[in-house]
Amino acid sequence: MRLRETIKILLSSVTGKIGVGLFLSLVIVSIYVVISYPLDFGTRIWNNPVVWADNPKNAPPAWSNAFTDIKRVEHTIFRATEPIEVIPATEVNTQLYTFNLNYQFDEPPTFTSFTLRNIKYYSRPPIITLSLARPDGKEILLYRHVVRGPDPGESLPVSRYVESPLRVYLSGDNTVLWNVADFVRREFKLDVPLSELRGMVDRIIFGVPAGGNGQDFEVLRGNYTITASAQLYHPKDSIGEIIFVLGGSVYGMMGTDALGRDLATGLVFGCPVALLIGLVTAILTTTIGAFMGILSGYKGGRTDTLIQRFCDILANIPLLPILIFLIFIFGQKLGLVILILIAFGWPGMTILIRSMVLQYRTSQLVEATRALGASPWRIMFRHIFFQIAPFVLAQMIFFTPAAILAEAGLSFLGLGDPSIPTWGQILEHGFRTGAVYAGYWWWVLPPGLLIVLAATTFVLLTLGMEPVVNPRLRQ
Amino acid sequence: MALLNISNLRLYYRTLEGIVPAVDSVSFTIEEGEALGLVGESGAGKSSLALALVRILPRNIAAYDGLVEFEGVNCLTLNDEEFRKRIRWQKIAMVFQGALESLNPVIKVGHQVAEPLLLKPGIVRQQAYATAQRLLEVVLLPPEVFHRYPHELSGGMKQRAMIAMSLILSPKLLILDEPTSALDVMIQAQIMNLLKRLKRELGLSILFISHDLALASDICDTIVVMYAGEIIEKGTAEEVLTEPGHPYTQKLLASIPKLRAEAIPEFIPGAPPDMTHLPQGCRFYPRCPQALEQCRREHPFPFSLNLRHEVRCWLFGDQK
Amino acid sequence: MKELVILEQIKMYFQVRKGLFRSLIVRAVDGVSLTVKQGETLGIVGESGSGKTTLGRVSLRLITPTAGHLVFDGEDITLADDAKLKGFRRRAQGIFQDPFSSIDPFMNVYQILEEPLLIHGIGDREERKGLVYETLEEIKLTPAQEFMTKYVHMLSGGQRQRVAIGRALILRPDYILADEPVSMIDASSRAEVLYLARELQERRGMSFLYITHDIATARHFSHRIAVMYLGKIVELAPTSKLIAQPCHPYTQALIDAVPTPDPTNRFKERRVILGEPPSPVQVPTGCRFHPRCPSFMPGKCEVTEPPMIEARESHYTACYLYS
Repeated sequence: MRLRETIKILLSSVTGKIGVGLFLSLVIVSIYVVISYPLDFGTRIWNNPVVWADNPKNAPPAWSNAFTDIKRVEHTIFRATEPIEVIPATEVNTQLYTFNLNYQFDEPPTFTSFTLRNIKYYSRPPIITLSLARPDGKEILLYRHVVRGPDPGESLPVSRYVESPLRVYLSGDNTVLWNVADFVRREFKLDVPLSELRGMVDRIIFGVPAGGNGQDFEVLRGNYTITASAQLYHPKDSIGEIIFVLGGSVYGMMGTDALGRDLATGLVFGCPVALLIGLVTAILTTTIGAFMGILSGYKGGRTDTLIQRFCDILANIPLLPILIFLIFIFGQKLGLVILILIAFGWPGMTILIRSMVLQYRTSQLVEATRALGASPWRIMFRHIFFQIAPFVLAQMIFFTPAAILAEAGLSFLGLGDPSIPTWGQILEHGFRTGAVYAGYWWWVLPPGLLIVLAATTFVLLTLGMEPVVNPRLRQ
Repeated sequence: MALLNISNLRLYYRTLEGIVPAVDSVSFTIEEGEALGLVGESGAGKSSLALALVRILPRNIAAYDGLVEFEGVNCLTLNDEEFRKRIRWQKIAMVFQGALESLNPVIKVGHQVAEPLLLKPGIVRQQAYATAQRLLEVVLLPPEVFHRYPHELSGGMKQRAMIAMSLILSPKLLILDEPTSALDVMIQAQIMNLLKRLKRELGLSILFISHDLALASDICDTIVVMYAGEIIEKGTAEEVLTEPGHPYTQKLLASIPKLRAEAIPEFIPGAPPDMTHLPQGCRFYPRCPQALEQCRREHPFPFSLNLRHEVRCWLFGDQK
Repeated sequence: MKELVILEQIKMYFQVRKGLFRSLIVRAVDGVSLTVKQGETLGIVGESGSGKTTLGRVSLRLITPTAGHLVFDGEDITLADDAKLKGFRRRAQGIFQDPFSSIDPFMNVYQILEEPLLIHGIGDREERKGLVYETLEEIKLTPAQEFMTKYVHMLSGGQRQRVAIGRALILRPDYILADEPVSMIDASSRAEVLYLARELQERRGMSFLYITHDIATARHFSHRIAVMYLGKIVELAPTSKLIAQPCHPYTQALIDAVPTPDPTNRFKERRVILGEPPSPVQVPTGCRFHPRCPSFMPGKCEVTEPPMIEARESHYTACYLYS
C-alpha cells in the first residue's frame, strides 16, 4: 500500500516525473551494458592498445563534420570474414572481398592500412592482392602479399596471423610506394621521383593532379571499391578476417582520446559503474548510519556516548590523506574507494537520525509500547524505524549523487581504479594529457555533463520524494 | 438591524474523495451585545463556518457563497484587500483553536498584542504599546507580562494574551473557537468569567464555538446546534437547554456528566456521516432513537416552534 | 478486598538544567501514598502540574521513583530490572491520552492488537487470531473483519481509543492505568469509552487508576477519588461522599468550576478562586494551597504542611480546617 502510494506521489509532480524518466534511462543503458559488454572490459579492451591501434588519436566525433566547413575524413574500418565472390578454377580458387566506399570528404585520408587475420592453408601458401577501383575508372594495384610458406619442422596445415595479425601500413610501405609511382606515371603521365611521393600515397590514391607539376593533388570524390583478392590453392584453405582501415580525422559518436579509444564505449560503460558506486555507497552508508543513529538515540547513556565519540573521531579524520595512504598500501582498487566512502560517510547520517530518534523516545507511542512490555530492540526496529523510514529513504536517494561526485572527484585526482573506466577516469585522463588546453571538447565535456546528469537525476528524485517525507506538501 | 446576518452561507471543500459540504446553507443572526453559541461534534462544520466568516480559506474551495451581512455590508462582495482592511480584525476578530501555540516565541508578548494596531496607518508606536498595555490590564494580566516572552507564561495567561490581541482594534464581534480546550477547569472558569465581563462592559458580540454544550451555556444567549454541516436546532439558551426539540440536542444534553445528579451520562453511539456521501434523508437518521420512516427518505426542513426556536426535524413536521 | 497496587510515600523529583551552571529540582510528586484495591477504580483528579500523570507512570514503573515503594500484588518492584518486570507488564497495562500518538500509525488494527501477544509469546498464530477477534468483539468494533485491516487515521477518536483499550485488555491484565483516556474525544462520545471500561471492569474484576482533570467524569466512573495538588494528595474519599461534602477548599473549588447546562449561568460569574497553581519548582511553604485558599489561616497554613487525617469515616484530607 505504501509503495504504490509513494510511486503515485512521486509521479504527481513535474520534478518527480523528470527524475523518474532520467533514472529509468540510466537503468536501461546500464542493463544494456551489463548484457553486451564483457566483465573485464576495462583490462582486456579499454586499456589494451592493440584494440585501438587503428583508430585516429584525439579525433572529434563524426557528426562534428556538420558544423565545420571542411568535411573531414570519417575514420572507417572495413571488415570482412566472408568473400563476396568466389571464382573457382581447377588449381586455384579466387576469393574476392570487396568494400564499397562513397568518398565525400574534403581531405585525403590520414592513412590507410590493411590487416590479415587467421589464415590457414593446406598446400601452397595463398596469395592476397589488394587493389582499388576509383570513381574515374582508374584502378591501382596497391599491394601483393604471399603468405609465408611452412617453416622447417612445420607440418601442413599451417596457421598464420592468429595471435598477431599481419598489419600493413599502406601509407608508408615501400611496395605500395612503387605501385603508386607506377600508377602516376602510367595514368597521369607524370614522372615524380620516389622521394617526393613518400608521404603522398593516400593523397594520390584518392585524388587527381591539380596543376601540372605532380605536386598538388585534389581530392577525387565518388565511389571507390577496395578489392582484396585471395588465391587459395586448396579447397579447405581459409581466411579469418580481412580488414581495411581508412584513416580519418573524425571518429564515431563521441570521438577518441589520446590513445585512440572510442570514447562512446567508455562513456556508456561508465553509466552502470556510476550507478553502482552511487547506489551501493548511498545504501550502505544510510543503512549503517540509520542503524547506529537509532541505537545511539534510543539507548542513550554509554552506548550513545560511545557511538557519538566514534563519529566525532571519524568526522575529524581527513578523508584524502587516508585514502592516498591506503591506496599506497593496497593499490588502486574500486572496492577500496567505495569502502572508504562508506566508512567516512555514515557518521553524518547517524547524527541526523539520532536527533530524530531522541524526539520519538519521549513520545506517547514509545511510552505505550514500553508499557506493553516490549523490549528496546522491538521498539527501535518495529516502531521507531518506520517513523523515520521515509526520511532515511529520501536521504539514501539524496546521498547517491554525492557518492557519484565523490568517486568522480577521486578519480580526477588520480586516486581511482584505472582498470575500470569511469567518467571521472576519462576526465582525469583528458586533463592529464592536456585535452583542455588543446580544445578537445568532445573528450572533456561529455563525462562532465554525464556526471552532472546522473547527480541531477537523483536530486530530482529526492525533490519528487519530498511529499512522501513531508505529508503536508501533498497535492 | 442585526450586527451579523448570515443567510444560506455555503462553504464546500474539494477533496480527493469528493466534495465536502462543510457549511451547507447556514443561516442565523447575531445582535449587538449578544453571545451565540455554535455547538456540535468535531467535523460538524463549526470551525469551517468561523473561517468562512473571517475569510481565511484553504485552496481547495468548491463553493463559497451566500449572504454574510455585517452592519449592513455584504462581506462576500468585498474583494480580499477591502475585507482585510475594513472587516478582518477590526470588525470581526478571532481567537483560534490551539491559540496557545500561535504566539511567536521570539517576540515579546506586549509587542505581539500591539502588532495589529501597528499595521494601521497613522498609529505611532508609543500609542500602540500603550493600548496593548491597557488591554493586558483589562484581561487581568499583571503589567510586567508586556515584556515577557510566550514561553514564560502559563496556558491561561497565554489565552488571556490572545484575547487581548483580538480586542486591540476594538472589534464588534469576537469569534472564539474552542478557547478553553487545552486549559484546566479552574482556568477555564476564570476565562469564562473574563469573557462574560468583557461582553457586559464592552458590549461585545460573541460567537462561541465549542463541542461542549455545558461550556457554551455558560455565556451564550442563543444556542445553535450544528450537525454534518447543517443547523439542526436554533433558539435561545432557555429554549434549547430546557426544552430541546431535536433528538441530537437531547442526546448532547444527556451526555454531559452531572456532578450533583446520580444519573450517569449517556452517549450517542455511532459516528457522524461521511461528508462525501451524505444520505438522502435526515443526516442524523442512522443514530437517531426517535427516527421515523420519513426521516430516511426525506431531508427535513427547519420548523419553527416559536419566534426564535427552530428545529430541523420531521418530529415537528406539522409546525410551519 | 485485596490491595493490588500499593504506592508508598512515592517521591518523584526531576532535575532540570537552567542556564549553564544552575539546575532546578522539579518536585512532580512529593510524598504520595495510595492503594488501588482489586476490582476498584480509583480516580485521581488534579490540574496540570499536580503530578497525577507522573504518579500514573510510576505506578506502571515506566519511571523509577526517586523515593518510596511500588508494591504490586505483594511484591516490591520499585527497583526491579527489566527482566523481572516482564511478568509485571503482563498484568499491568496502560491507556494513554492521545490515541492518535500512542498507537503506531503504520500498523493496522489487527497488528496493534496482536502485538502484546507477540511480545509475551502467547499462543500460536491461530490462537492469537482468535484472541484478537474476541477482543474486537469486546471493544465493540464489529464487524471484526472490516476493522482488522484499518489503520488508525481511518478511525474516529472514540474508535481509536477503543483500539487502545483493546490493546491494553488483550493480555487480561489485573491493573490498568487510564491516563486522561477521554479528554481528547468529543464530549458526546466520552461516556461510550468510559462505559466500555466499566463494563469490562465489572466482568473481569480489573482495577483501574483513572487519571483526569475532569472531576465530572471521575464522579461517574470511580469508586474512590483522590484529589492532587502540586504533588500531594489533599483529599481522598469514596466518590459520593467527596462530591456531596468535600472537605478541602481546593476540592470545593474544583467542583464549583465545573460548567453546567443551566441557562441562567450566563447572568452571573462562576465562583472561582483566582490565580494559577504555582510551578512545581517553587513549592510554597506549609500547605501548598495556602496562597490561593479562601480559608487561609495565617500563622498556621503557611508554616507547616498539614498531615493527612481521617476527617470523617474513610474520608481523608490534609487541611488544618479539620484538625
